[in-house]
Amino acid sequence: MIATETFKPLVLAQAKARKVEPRLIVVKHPVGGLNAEELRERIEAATKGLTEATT
Amino acid sequence: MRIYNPSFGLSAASAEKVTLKPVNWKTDAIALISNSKPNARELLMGVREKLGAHRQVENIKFLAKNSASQPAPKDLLQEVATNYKAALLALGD
Amino acid sequence: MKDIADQEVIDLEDMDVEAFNEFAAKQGWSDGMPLYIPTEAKVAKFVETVRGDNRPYPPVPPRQIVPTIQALAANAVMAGCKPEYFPVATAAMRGVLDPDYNLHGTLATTHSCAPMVMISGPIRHELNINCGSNCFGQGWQANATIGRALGLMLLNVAGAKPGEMDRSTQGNPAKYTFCFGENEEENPWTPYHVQRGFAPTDNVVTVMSGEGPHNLNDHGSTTGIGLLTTFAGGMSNPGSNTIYGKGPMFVIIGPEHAATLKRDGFTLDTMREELWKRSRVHLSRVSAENLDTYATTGHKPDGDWLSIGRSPDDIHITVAGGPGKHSAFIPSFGGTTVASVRIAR
Repeated sequence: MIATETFKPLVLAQAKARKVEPRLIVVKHPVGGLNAEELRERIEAATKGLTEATT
Repeated sequence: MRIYNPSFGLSAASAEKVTLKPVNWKTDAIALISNSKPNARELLMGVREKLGAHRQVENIKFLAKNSASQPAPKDLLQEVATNYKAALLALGD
Repeated sequence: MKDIADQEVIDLEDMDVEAFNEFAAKQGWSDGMPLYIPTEAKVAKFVETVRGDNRPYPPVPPRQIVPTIQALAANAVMAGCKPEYFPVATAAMRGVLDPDYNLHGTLATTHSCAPMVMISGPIRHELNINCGSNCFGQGWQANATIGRALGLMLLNVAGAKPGEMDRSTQGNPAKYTFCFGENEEENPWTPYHVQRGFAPTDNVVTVMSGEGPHNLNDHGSTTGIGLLTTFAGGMSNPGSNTIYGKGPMFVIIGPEHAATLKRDGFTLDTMREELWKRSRVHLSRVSAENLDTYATTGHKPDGDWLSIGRSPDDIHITVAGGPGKHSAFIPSFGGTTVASVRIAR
């Protein structure tokens, strides 16, 4: 799951309540409201996070 | 003095710990699931495009629930469970 | 020894209310206002009032624990309720646990929504619940503490801790308390709970996850259609969650406005139809990016307009308040429902 650093505590609290341990990819906050150029950095970070988490 | 704990409750009986199955992220079918938060779709599609440098992307499919504020519908969950070995969700924002 | 969080009954050294409030704040039990001490004796008095309702509670999201009635009572005690208010607070809790209310979403969202609690039936008078002047405001113990009790239950049982599980960007003063009574005596149509299929003599709590009341001021209109023009203008708001077109909303009509609308022949259905037609948002008031987002999530414009609900049935109407030329619009969270629950005693 991709989450922003600001919302990571919420994701972890909800995961704990459901007794799951999601594999988290954390990117800078925010994502909503970014234009295409600003979003590029988040895409890079998310792809890097996914690659590292799955290899 | 003795007080009642206002946050006390019993754990839901059915909530057993969920374990994850092994996934081959280089080859397995993957679902990219957007919760419809703004830019979630764009973020996932950007990741999909970049994954194309390392693996085939034809079996990486985009799915979405149509409201960020509602739980995923059962048929969407069933579709993911039936057809995909892994899911990448976005977005906790 | 068990952690305090795991103990149903906690042994504490005797302490005064100030010391208890310090202790409660450290446990994360406080909404920031002073709390009463939920002693065993006080909780027992509250539990006695709900003997007519033995149904178990489901797990409460997001925390997913099954509450005991004593834990719920402890929150009502802390809120300052009288024992006789407790069945109303538990009915409100059952209302927010309706699966379609979407408690998880309404508590974890960045939206400012708070549980609106509206009380109908004879119990309004028994408990001195304010239905008239300043009904959304301060001054009545029942209104103040029943709404607060639900807020504390959601904090402590559901786990909606601000900044952690409750992620509201700015919050809303209604999160402290938002409880009022219908003004059935000055409602020229059908009381809300009767609209929902309950008997007039039933006592009913209705909950909706809503924004605070948006005022609808109209001192000038002398006709029903004039008033509805003002109401619709106030409802067509591109900054409320109703812009997503997916949820309920309340129009709470002040008694003087209600009298004018009734005089001019409006019924609940014709008011809903009229408001539905007129409260749409023109595309010129919506950004291109938002239009794109709405379209991809299934909310497409009808010509040059976006509707603020799925149908006229999303507009819930009743009467509350006192003298004056004001009414109120309460938009919901969107992905939620209006739940009405009979108060069991």
